[in-house]
Amino acid sequence: MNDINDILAKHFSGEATVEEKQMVEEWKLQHAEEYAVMSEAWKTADKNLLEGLEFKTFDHKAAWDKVDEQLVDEKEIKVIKMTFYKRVAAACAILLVGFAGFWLLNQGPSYNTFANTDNAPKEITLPDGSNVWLAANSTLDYQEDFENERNLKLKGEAFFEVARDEAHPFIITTEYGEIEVLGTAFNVNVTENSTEVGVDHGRVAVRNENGEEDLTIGEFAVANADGVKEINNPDVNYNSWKTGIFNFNQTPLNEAIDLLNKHYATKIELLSSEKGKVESLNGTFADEPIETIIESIVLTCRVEAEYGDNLIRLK
Amino acid sequence: MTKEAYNKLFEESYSSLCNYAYAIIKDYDEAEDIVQGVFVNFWNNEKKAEIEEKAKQYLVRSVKFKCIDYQRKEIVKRKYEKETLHVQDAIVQEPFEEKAETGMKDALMMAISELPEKTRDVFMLSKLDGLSYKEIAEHFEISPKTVENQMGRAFRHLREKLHVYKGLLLFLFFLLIE
Repeated sequence: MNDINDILAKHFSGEATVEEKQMVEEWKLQHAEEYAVMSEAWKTADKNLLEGLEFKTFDHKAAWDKVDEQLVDEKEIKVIKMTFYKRVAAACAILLVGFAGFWLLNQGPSYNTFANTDNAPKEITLPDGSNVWLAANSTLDYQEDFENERNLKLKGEAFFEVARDEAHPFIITTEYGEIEVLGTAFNVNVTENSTEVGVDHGRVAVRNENGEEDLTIGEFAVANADGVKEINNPDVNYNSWKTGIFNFNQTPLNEAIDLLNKHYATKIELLSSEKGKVESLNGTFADEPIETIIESIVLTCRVEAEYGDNLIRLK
Repeated sequence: MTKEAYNKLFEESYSSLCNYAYAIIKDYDEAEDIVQGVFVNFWNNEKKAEIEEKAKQYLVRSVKFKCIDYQRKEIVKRKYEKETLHVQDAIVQEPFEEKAETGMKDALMMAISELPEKTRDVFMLSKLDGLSYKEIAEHFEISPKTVENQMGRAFRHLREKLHVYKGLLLFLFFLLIE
C-alpha cells in the first residue's frame, strides 16, 4: 500500500495514474476539508509566492547569543548571607507576600496589560489570534488564561478584529457597559462619560445595567449612565484613527486636526484656534502620508505650515 | 516553556522566520533584527503561552506585523526623501498585501522554507518550473522513485503544517455561497 502523501503529490502535480486518481477520489470522500486545504495550498503556492522565497541559512547560534542576553530570567535564586535583623525582616516580608497572595487569589483572575504610551495607534495580537489596534494613550487588559476565558478591560479607544470561537465569547468590560461578541470587527471608544461602539462587520451585543442593544454591520451605539442607545447617523470618521481613511465634508479645521492627530505620530498644532472654526476641509484621504494632507490643508485653508521634529505647526 | 525548549524553538525556526521576513522586506540585516526582537519580546512578555505550536503561530504573526510596520515606515521615508531631498528614484517596494487572507500564504511560506533542502529542491522544480517527475529525476541524476518519495515527504510536511486551516476554508467557502 502506497503512502497517501505520495499519491496526493502525484495527483496535484499531474503524475497520477488512473488507479491513483481513483484512490484520491476515495480518500477525498473521507477527507473533504483536508482536500480543500491542499488544493487551496497548491493554488496559493504560485510563481509569485515561490519566487519571492529565499532559503538562506542564518547563523542561529550567534543570533541566539544576542537574544539570550536580553531575555529576562524567570527565577534568579540568590543565596544571601543575612544578619538577624535581615532575617526578621525577610520573615515579615514572606508573611506579607503570603497575605498578598491570598488577597490576590480572592480578587478573581489576573490580567495582562497592554498600554499604548506611544502617540500613534499600535497593533497587537492577542493569544487567541484576535487583532487589536489600540489608540494612543489607551490601555487594554486581557485575562491571563485567555484560551479559556476571553475577558478584557478597555480604557480609551480600540478597534477589534476578533477571531471566531463560539465556545469562548469575547467580552470587553468598560466603565459604561459590557460588549460581547463571537467573532467580528468593531470599534470601541471609552470617553469620559460614555462608551461608543461602531460595528465594521459581524454582530455585537452592548449592555449595561440599564439597557442592551444588538448591533450589526454599520450600526453604532452609545452606552452611558442612562442605558444603551443606538445612534442613527454616526460620525463617518469614527474609526479613521485606525484605518487612516478620512472623509472630510465641511469639517471644521480644528476637528479635522483632532482626528488626524489620533492617527499620525507626527502631531499637528493649530496656532490660531479661532481660524480652525472658520476654515473647513473637504475631501477624502486614504492612508496618505501626513505631508500630503498638510499640503492640501495649506492650499485650501489659507494657513502656512512649519515643519518641526514630529510636529507640524499651522498658522 | 523552559529556556531549553525556547532555545530549541529558536534553532528550529530562526532561519525560516528570517527567510520569511526577507520575503517581505528584502533586507537580510533588518530581517534578522526583526526576528530577534520578536523572540526577545515574546519571552519577556508572553511566556505564558505554553503550547509550542501556538507559540510558533504567534511568532510568525508578530514577525509579519513587524515587517509590515517596517515597510510602511520605509515607504513614507523614501517618499519623503524623494520629494524633499530630490533623491533619484529610490526603489520603492510594493506594500505586502495584508488583508483578505486566511493566513494560508504565511503558513505556506513558513512550511516550504522548513522543508529539508533536497525535498525543497525537488518540490520547487515540480511546482515552480513545472517539471515532470522524470525530468526532475534526470536533472538530479536520481531515480524517479526517489523523486516520488521526496514529493510525498513535502506533502506530508505541508499537510501537517496546514491542518489548522481545516474548517476555516470550508467556512469561507460557505460564506462565498451565501
